[in-house]
Amino acid sequence: MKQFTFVLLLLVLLSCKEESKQIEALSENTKISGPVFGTSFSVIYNSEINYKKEFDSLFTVVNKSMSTYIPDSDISKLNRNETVEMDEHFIKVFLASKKIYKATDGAFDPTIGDVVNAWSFGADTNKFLTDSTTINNLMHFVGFDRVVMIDNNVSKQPQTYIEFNAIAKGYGVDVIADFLERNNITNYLVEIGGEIRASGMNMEKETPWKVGLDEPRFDGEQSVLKGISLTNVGMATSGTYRKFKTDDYGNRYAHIINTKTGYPTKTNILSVSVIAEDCMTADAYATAFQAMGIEKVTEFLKSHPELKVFLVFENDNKEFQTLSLNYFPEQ
Amino acid sequence: MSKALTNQELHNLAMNHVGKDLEQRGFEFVAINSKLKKHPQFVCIDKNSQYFFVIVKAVVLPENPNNYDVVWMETFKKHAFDKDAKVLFAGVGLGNPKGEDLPIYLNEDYLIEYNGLQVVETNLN
Repeated sequence: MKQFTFVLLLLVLLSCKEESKQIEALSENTKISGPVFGTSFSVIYNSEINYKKEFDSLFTVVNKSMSTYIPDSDISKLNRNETVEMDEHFIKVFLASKKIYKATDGAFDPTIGDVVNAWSFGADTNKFLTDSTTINNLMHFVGFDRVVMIDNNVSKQPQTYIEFNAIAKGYGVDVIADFLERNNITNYLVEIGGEIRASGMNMEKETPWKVGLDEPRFDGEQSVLKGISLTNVGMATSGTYRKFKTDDYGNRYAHIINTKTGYPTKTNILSVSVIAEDCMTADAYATAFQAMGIEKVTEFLKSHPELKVFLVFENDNKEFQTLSLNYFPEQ
Repeated sequence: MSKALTNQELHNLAMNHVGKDLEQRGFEFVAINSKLKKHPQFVCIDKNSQYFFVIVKAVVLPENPNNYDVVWMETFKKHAFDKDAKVLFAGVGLGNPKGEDLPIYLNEDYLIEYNGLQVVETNLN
């Protein structure tokens, strides 16, 4: 009998050891970062496998499809009116863009790109601040409702310029997150240039994923306004304070263009953070909300409980003020 | 010399009719697939930014245009559900007025039976 107890004890000890080893292995995260889409990315996930190569090839595919900065990408060819069959990434982003274009009554519009370029905020840096005739002419070819996909080709007016730069970063985040999920990784944080998707928790620290929201600053420095916990959502931030131009009179022009007028918005919103089901949706709405202004956004969100929003704006006394809508997390 | 329409051409003829109906009802086109067997034929969006996948099926009369393959439709319904889209079915019957066993000829009169858009419930199996 004594011998039996001993064996049992040994077994228990052995199995304990085995178990703790397993937990140890799982508690380590892999961190991968690098440059992408003219900014940087960082992926933290709970697995030992290094997916750097896979991430890089996924980014290459997305760039090849949608980057206006790459001359032989599908979208660049499309904008030069060359025949090109669109891939699944383009189609996904196209369909999502249509939905958000429609929902925001055109405040989000992928055909505004040429006007953005005319104001020299976008991809083509050769052009500079512009005159009203140029803007009026360009506005004739703005309107995503007139762009239709026919047999995987895009049908548009030759002068219409399409770009998904206000949604592609968020989509890139989703592509990486979906890849991790296909590989059965459920605890991860994917970030590209401030756009985020978080799932599960940080297993290494055994805490929820914590992300910081930037304080709006015009001096180019970074500081955190508040930190929040995220899980199983995408979050994107659109901030005018990071990218703006000042004219001779000291007026600040945001890089968000009003899609109805073609002029930069003179909104008092400094930054919009949106939490949505995925990062692509969050990214597109963050841009649209910046252009819509506080009142319209507040009204819009009453019928869109799936979106959580945090606004930082300049009030009448030129002070920062914040507004949380639809239960955006306090911390 | 009369030239009979191919299956692809019959399909496109049916799509033209359904497309006009969709347009009149205020749907906006997002994507169109005109090739035979490439589904859905129309991806439309309404003013509430609701997506609709429209299946167009051309049949030669007297075959009943209102019926669809329910087994196939189950898989398509799942696809639409995943994409948060509603499904509409549009059956179009086409025929030669001079006789059931004659084909439909290019640039000649034809019979059409079209009973509008059927809503296919995605939440029922």
